Amino acid sequence: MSWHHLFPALQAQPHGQRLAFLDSAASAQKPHAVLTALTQTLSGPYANIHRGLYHNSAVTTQAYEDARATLARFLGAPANSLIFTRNSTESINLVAQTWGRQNLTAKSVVTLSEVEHHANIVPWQLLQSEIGFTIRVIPATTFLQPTTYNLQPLLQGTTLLALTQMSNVTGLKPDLTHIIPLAKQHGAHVLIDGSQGAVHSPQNLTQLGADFYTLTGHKLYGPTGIGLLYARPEILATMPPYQGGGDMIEQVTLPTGTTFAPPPARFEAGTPAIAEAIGLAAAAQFVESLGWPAITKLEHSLATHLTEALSSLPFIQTYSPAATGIAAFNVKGCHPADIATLLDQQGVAVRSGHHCAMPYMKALGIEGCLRASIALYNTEEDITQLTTALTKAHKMLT
Amino acid sequence: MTLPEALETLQLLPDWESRYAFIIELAKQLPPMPQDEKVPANIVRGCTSQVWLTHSFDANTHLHLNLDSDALIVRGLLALVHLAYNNQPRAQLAAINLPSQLAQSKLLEHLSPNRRNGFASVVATVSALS
Repeated sequence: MSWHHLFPALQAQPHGQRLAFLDSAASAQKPHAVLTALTQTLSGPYANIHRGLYHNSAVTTQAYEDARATLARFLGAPANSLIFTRNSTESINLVAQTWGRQNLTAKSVVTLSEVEHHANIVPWQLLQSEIGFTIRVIPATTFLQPTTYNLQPLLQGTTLLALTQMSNVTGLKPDLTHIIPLAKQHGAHVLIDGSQGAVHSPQNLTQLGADFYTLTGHKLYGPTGIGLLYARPEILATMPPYQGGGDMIEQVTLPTGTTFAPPPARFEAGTPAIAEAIGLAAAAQFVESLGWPAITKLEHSLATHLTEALSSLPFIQTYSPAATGIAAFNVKGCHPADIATLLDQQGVAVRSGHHCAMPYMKALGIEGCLRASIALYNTEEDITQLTTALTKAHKMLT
Repeated sequence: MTLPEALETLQLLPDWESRYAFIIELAKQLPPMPQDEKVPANIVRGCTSQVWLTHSFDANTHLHLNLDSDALIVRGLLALVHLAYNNQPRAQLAAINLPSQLAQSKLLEHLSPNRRNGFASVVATVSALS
């Protein structure tokens, strides 16, 4: 079984070679279903939302709010808990600049992990430089141990725990079913960065128990420029606006005295990415139409094969703790950029560099690495093409 | 080897594999930069791998160029830069148009935009030494 043919961009032949696209953790390719939704929105009865009293505006407004409802069902969350943002980065910045600015003080502790990508580090550092709270760091090795014993002292006194669901570098998955309740026991609020996690397994955000959850659409087979922030409705109700503008107001008066709309509109200033939001809902429906059991089964099989294939090559050093579909590795004695260049010539697209996670690189004791990541459209042939290309690249460089 | 010889070889080589093998060969011939010169102050910005550059002019105002990178393929490209600019009179540096000479060799079309940008920033830095 393969869903490869449903993604037109995968038919391209870079340098005249078959494309083995193994960089979906950076951004995923788009299925026909998403492209059709974008085209239909923009070529059908299109208009701005929440404004016109005419047919086109009503249809587009309905489609936009239907998209929110679809995504709410997809994520197991109430529709009024989901805010459309540009991406996960904006979602995290939104939480930092609204909830964070309102609730964090110089005495607060924001606990992050060493495996976070920069989007879940820098927004907190920017706010920290103004407010002066403590940033506490959970070492990467903590997540490799079977119990959460070592986490207890780090959670003591934590105001906010901001943690990834799945590392974008190694695919490491912190055990959220243990960590979230533990953080809650310590009175902490919890933000989970689902940029990678939401792509590979079904979510039920109400059950997950986090206060905030962020994701980005373009990794989830959706368009670019659209993401989501989930916040528990009772928290969302207390949060001040993020940006000012149209659609987020209730009443505007001069010189002062403007009042704001209830969530989610309060956090969606200006004309949003309408077609992209509808496209993201189409991506969610596409995933549902294939079915999570079939997707996770296929991805598990591909991830296992990828890990085994890399481990079988004697010149490869791997850094991923488990076969999750994101494999971090290096070719011994070779610069990752050299390998990536020679893989590119053979039609294989992998990422090289620090993967926007410099602290994690430091924890792993490396300056950079290669990363091959699996999506639902990958095939066994992609992995074979990778290992063949790696063998050739290694031979050329040593 | 001279730059025209290197470019002619690149043009004659039949496929990407042999062109890259040649670039890797050039990389191995580039004299290494002393370790104590590989400091942040000598890093050329805008490259996807680390690139260091130091230089001096001799009594005849000829350029003495030292280039290095932690990546082998980049090192090979730097060897071409070295062939083009090293020992050239200061007054002529700005007139050497390496990218246009390389354009005929089919090598640039095989470089990713990131690599091309990194290469371009090294060339721009060296041209600006005049």
